[in-house]
Amino acid sequence: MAAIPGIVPDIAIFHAPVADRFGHVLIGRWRELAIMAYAARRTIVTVERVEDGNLLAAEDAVAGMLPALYVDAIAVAPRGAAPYGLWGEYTANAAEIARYARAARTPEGFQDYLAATGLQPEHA
Amino acid sequence: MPAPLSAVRVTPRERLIVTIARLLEGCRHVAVGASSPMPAAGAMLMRAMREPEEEPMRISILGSMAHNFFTNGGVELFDCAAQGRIDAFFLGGGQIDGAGNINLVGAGPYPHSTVRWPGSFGSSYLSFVVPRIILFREEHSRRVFVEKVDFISAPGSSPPGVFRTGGPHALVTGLAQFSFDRKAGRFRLETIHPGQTLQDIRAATGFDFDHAPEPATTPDPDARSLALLRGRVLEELAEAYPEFARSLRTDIAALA
Repeated sequence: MAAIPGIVPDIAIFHAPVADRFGHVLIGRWRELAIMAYAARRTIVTVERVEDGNLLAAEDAVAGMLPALYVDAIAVAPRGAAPYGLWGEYTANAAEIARYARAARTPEGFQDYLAATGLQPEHA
Repeated sequence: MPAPLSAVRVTPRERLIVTIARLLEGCRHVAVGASSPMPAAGAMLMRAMREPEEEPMRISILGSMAHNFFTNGGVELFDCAAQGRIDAFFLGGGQIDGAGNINLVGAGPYPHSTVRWPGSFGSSYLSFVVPRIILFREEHSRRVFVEKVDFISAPGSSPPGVFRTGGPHALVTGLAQFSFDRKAGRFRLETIHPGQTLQDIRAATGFDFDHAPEPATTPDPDARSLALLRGRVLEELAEAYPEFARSLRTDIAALA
């Protein structure tokens, strides 16, 4: 660690099942997500839903949370991990991933795929 | 003369899984990395076979929730391995050479690789600290098994005086099983899967390897292994690798 400087990403972005209204995020055992957030200058998290309570309140669950301290923005994006799966929520869609992989072999295919999802950036 | 065809009806992938399981004999804790359904199945099978014993074999399948002891992120695998708490781990390679070097970076002159692979990630580190590194690559061809890799992600062996408690132990492919001699830095062909000849293996391998004058045939899975694999292991596997489990079930059904 002394020989090689750490990487400082400008932005970390990932998808999780739940955030609360304070910006705390449920990451469960997937602690890599916390490491990404610790390392990055800014962290954006998309979630399936935002809940009302305080995710840091329960002692038996708090170690599976990423505190809002490391989170700059939350956006609700239902099924935001699809066609990949999201633990505890939905499973991966292998046929759709294969369809994407075929489409993404060319820039045109990738653009067409994006257009069909309706997820194209506004200033593409 | 080709190795005799199998007496039991078994799919090629089942044979590989059982071959992998046998290599895990005596392990206390086996870790399996991402995108490795057959190594995961092999580890699950060995665990199931050992069940009546007093000391269970633990397995940590990355990406699984039900078959995974890690709760502290990617760093835990590496710390755990450094402490000697992991006895076996699996590595593959876009290229693997006769000195046991693996290449997970890309084909062609680095950094101008013409084909890119997933990257070395923790392969080199784990190969230095996990005693039983099992190399697994189903495709057995000259584009995979080359004389010299284009990039060394993890070296097969290290010069004397280098502190190294781990390294390659065996290589399992779709055609055969090899052992690796870390001192000599060479593979030895141990068994040939049914239906293949020594000549077939030579023709498909871009490096030189040691072998007995007439190498043995990879043994058939015994009835108990096969029953455990087709029952409990496929059920366990479906959690982390649903597609693979489905497709293997289809293959098995097609045997009948």
